[in-house]
Amino acid sequence: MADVTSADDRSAPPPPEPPVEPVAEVVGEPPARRGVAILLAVSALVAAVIGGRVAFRSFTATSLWQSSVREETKQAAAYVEQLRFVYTSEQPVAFALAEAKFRAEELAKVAPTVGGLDRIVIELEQAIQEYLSSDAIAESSPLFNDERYRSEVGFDIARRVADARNEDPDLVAIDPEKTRQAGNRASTHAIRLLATTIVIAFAFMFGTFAQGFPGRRQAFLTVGYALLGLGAVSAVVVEVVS
Amino acid sequence: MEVEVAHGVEGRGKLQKWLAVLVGISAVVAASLATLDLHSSKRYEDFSGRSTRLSVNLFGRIAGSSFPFTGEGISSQIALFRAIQASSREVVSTVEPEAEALEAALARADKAAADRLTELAATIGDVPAPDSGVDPLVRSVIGTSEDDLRGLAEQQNRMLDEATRYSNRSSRAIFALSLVALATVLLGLAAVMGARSGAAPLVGGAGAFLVIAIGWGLTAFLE
Repeated sequence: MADVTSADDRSAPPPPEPPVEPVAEVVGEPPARRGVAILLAVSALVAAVIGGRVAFRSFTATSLWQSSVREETKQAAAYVEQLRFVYTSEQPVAFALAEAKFRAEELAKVAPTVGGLDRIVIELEQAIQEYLSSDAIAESSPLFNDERYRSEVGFDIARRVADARNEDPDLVAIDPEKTRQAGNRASTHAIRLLATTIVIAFAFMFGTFAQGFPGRRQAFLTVGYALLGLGAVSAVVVEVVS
Repeated sequence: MEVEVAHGVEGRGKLQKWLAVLVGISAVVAASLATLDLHSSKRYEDFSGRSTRLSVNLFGRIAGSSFPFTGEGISSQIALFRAIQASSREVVSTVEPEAEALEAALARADKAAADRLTELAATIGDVPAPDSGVDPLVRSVIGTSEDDLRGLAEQQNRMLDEATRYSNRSSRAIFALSLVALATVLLGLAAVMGARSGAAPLVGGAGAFLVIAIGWGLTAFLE
């Protein structure tokens, strides 16, 4: 029972090997699969790169818009305070001084028309008004005292406002709308850039179609690569133009 | 994932073809919805920012324009009081013979001073001229009228409404995008399970999610 194999069995032909697929098919398939894989991978990669750039530009837009709000607040706070100072701190004092000055001048005109004690009273009143509008007191009011603000009617408050504003040119130079426009440009850039990923998504879609429908693989691949190229070129154009 | 899916299932039946089609469509729908969301959210941010700026501008103009207006009013009152005093002296000069000359002279002086003060007071509320050196913004603030303020308030409200509209549109796009994500998860699961494991319902569910996502995304335009 040690060896049950007969001589006839040993001389029998070996069992047939399983059929081998034609060499042409084996060699021909991998490049097509690679084409699909490359299309899908490159599409995903390009979309990811564009997505990163979109995120950056989108953040820039948001940042600029928020800056424009802060600038608007800063600008408004500045002009409100400057107008408050000129019109409620300086102007009432200057007007009171102007009143004293006008009265002194008008009293000087009428004093010669009367005589005796009446004239003394008027001249006394005139002296008081002149003192009230004199340099000693008027020094506290640049609007009334400074030669630059003198005008035919008394003082030129507009010129004083201009000087108050120009004391801080940085505040005058604030332009929130300009900042917003810069934000708009960044936003439009981001949106247009992201829109190009729709074309790239179509390229990806044709890549999956190529894999799902081998009979039309070449046609789908051709369209897919064309769309991928179009999407990439569109992204570059948007990047350059925006 | 899609590469492996396609690699493993190529040409192996209807289910796998549906898988390939739905994965491709998911990519396109996702990219479209992401673009819609970015557009809507950026518009929301812009309108929201402009609305906030208009609020600040509105309050700034209300405060800024009130100072010259109030200053002119108070100064005019002072000038008027001086004119009333002049009139009183004139009256006194006619009924008090002893003080006639003095009061008449003081009345003339006060009347002339009152006229000059009135003239000066009128310049305080004036909008500075372009050649005054005052920057255009502050000239515009000082010259703000009631109609301007009403217009700004209406504009601010309109911006806020627009911001809300785009915010809703963005929310719809995000929800639709979430549905697409669910659909791709189902497609991935179906690919892993393979055709023999009853993946057809998963692919069907993914297709349904995609259809709903597209529909929901389109409703964003109704906002």
